[in-house]
Amino acid sequence: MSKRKAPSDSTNPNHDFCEFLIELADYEKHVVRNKYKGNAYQKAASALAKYGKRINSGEEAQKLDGIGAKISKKIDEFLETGTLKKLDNIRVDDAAVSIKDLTRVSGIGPAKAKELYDSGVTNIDILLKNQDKLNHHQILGLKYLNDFEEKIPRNEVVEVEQIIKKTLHNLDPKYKVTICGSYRRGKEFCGDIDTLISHPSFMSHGLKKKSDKLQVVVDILKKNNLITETISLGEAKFMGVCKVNCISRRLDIRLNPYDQFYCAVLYFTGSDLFNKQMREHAIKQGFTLNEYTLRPMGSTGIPGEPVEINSEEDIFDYIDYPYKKPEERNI
Amino acid sequence: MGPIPVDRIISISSEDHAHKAENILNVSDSHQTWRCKSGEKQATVILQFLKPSVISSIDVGNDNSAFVEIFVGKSTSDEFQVLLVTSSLMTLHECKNGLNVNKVRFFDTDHLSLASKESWDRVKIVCTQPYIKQSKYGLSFVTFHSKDIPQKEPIQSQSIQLGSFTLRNDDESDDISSAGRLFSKRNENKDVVRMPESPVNRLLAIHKKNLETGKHKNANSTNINIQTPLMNQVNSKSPKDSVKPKNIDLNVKKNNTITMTAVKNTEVKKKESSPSSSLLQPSRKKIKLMKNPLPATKPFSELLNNVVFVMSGYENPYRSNIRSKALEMGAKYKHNWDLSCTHLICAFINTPKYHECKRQGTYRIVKSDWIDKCHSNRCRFPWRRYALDKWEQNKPESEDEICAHTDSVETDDSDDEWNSVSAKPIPSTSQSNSSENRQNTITTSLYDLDTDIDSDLDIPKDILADESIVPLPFIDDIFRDCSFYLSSSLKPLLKQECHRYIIALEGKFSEKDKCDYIVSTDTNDLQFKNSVTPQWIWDCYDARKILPLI
Repeated sequence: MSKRKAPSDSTNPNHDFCEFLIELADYEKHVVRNKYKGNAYQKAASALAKYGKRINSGEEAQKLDGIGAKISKKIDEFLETGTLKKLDNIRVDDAAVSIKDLTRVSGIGPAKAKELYDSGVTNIDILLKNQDKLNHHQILGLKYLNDFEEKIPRNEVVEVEQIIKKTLHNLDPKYKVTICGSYRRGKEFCGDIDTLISHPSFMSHGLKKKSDKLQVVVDILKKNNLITETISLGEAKFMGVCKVNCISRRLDIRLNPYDQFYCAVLYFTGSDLFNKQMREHAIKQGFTLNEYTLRPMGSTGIPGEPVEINSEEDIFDYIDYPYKKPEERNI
Repeated sequence: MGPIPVDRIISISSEDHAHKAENILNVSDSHQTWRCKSGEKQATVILQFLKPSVISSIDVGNDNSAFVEIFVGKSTSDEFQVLLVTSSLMTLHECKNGLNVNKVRFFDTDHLSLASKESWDRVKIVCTQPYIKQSKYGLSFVTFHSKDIPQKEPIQSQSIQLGSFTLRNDDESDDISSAGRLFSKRNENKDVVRMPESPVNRLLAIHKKNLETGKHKNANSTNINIQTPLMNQVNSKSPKDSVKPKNIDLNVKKNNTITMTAVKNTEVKKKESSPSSSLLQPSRKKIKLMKNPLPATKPFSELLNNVVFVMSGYENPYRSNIRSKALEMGAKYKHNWDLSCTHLICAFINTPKYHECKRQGTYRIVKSDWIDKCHSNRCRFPWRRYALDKWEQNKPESEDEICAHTDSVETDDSDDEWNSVSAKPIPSTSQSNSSENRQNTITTSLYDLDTDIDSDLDIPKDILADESIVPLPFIDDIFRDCSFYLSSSLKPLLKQECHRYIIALEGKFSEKDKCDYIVSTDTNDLQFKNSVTPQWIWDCYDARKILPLI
């Protein structure tokens, strides 16, 4: 989801393959804007990372799930020449380079980057002088560009988690707080802090009335000097900046209806590819799963009433999928 | 808002031989359910309404299904639209642990799709159970409600013009068609603690009331107290109701026409029940002395003396509650079924004990209501009323009620007894079998039973006066102009019973070679063309007409 993914593990024996595949993935996603090709490269990179042994030929790699004829050719090319023609071409392509540079900024995606590139903004330095072209989010993204590119060490997330939990429990012990994302999957470094909160009085069927719960929570965390900037704040989602040590971090807080909490936790824990697989499995089992609910499909394909979910395990059980602990979801 | 009458079941994907699809239309008995055959991916049933209706809410009683989905359609096309999206009837946890397999869910307009705004005459119900492999699942009932005011339903409460009288049906708020109904009403008044009823039971009871085609509606207008339909009617007058002595009782048939008999009954009644209760009393006494030499009473602790029972399907604490009530009344309890057992008190069919019982040919399988009702009414009711199997319930009762001795005067017992008498009229023996006296037969037979417990003289007068307005059981005169011969091969008890039925149904007796029907169980007699079995009499009585000879 986030473009500030934690780096691929350098102890992985196929580290170099993964790196070029991820670079290709980013290129496909950001410049060509073909997310399917992007996903394919990413999936291949994950498969290689999980393999555990050094790959010695494209043929060997092709046996892995997610690696086909073309990627195996690229691996062969990389093994023979130590480089990749396609990648070299990309690296010298002005547009690709500019877009890659501009999309480092939080809030600037491939579309905005392309627009900026077309209007003559080709790098960050020019962008700093043309901030009138940016919205509030992008201005903050630019302001904290270097901070946000720093990976967040796990213990710092623990610190933030404790502050939020303590604050909310003082407010009302019924609050549930879970920090999702790669942190929950046990990674040592994270790109941002994705927090989900919920309260029993906030249910999906009462959504018509406005809830100021998130506003209250954010106000208190501001007073605690945890939250330093607000990018956006709605009823259900806060995006902003927090700081516990010297580096500012991206912090998201989502308020989820109590009955949809576990579907949201599952979704925001990821990984993206794990979610994709799980949804595919759900469909095979006659269900439709999203970040809000798990619903049975009717005999004519119309999704039914959400089933009652009281834990993440319930979701796995309903669709008859072996339970995976968050740490096992790093696909 | 009334239930939408269902005409028929158009199709089903499958049904288990013990759990037929028609059971889902039967709201009254939650043990009678529809299940598909084992291993079906989905179980489907399509229903046809009597007429197109707008569905405003749906009640679904589950039987092991995880999800239910309901579609609506029209008989003019094969297309169905979703009315209720796939909705849970059991959670995964419940499926895996076999918990709450008979939950009831109510879906109101908020749950239903936009299709609920139109009228439809077909519904398709789809159940699934992906979590219990090879299971048989389905529903115990489904009821569709419409906001339309029902126009031509048999249960409507319209006023009926009867000559110069107007019959007005008066729905009693929570009528429950059981023998102890009136009694429990009295209990309410007296703040006596009763067995609490679950909301579901109440719902089922209300549904039952609605669905049973006007089985017992009490007509009640200011001056005339007219009792409406059917033989199973129940008088719910409480002693406190002050009713004027001139009240007239009418028995009205289901089709809302007054039968001749009923009118005659009224006349007889008028003659017999003089306005003064002091006059009434001696005459009742006399009848008792003449015709009821054997008052069927027993001490409360011996009511169920010859009953040896086994229980199946009930869970504690309810189980022990029922058991101790039965023991209090003198019954014997056994853990397991053996040859000495007489009754099985069973919650639902198809329990292992149920099968064992059936294998041994015992058919006395009753619901716990029997014990409950006997205990609370201090009266041993014939078990068949509480038979678990529907078809047993419909058979004539072969035992009489036995009441407990009353130490003190319990005036309300009389009501109770009236209640049970009128709840199931039993044609009773009478010395007078001439046709001139037939009205008297009916009337006095009622008094017969009444006096069993009314022997105390210190009953307040107003209550006795009230009793004069109790309705007479309505009995068809289907055997009028028929003559019978009771074969000597019949056993005395059976013969007596046949005798009672034939008289009650206005039949006559004559010689073997002159009669219209020979009643016999003997195979030698059965070669006669006109021979019938006692069962034929019961069947005629149930069918209210002379059935063709087989």
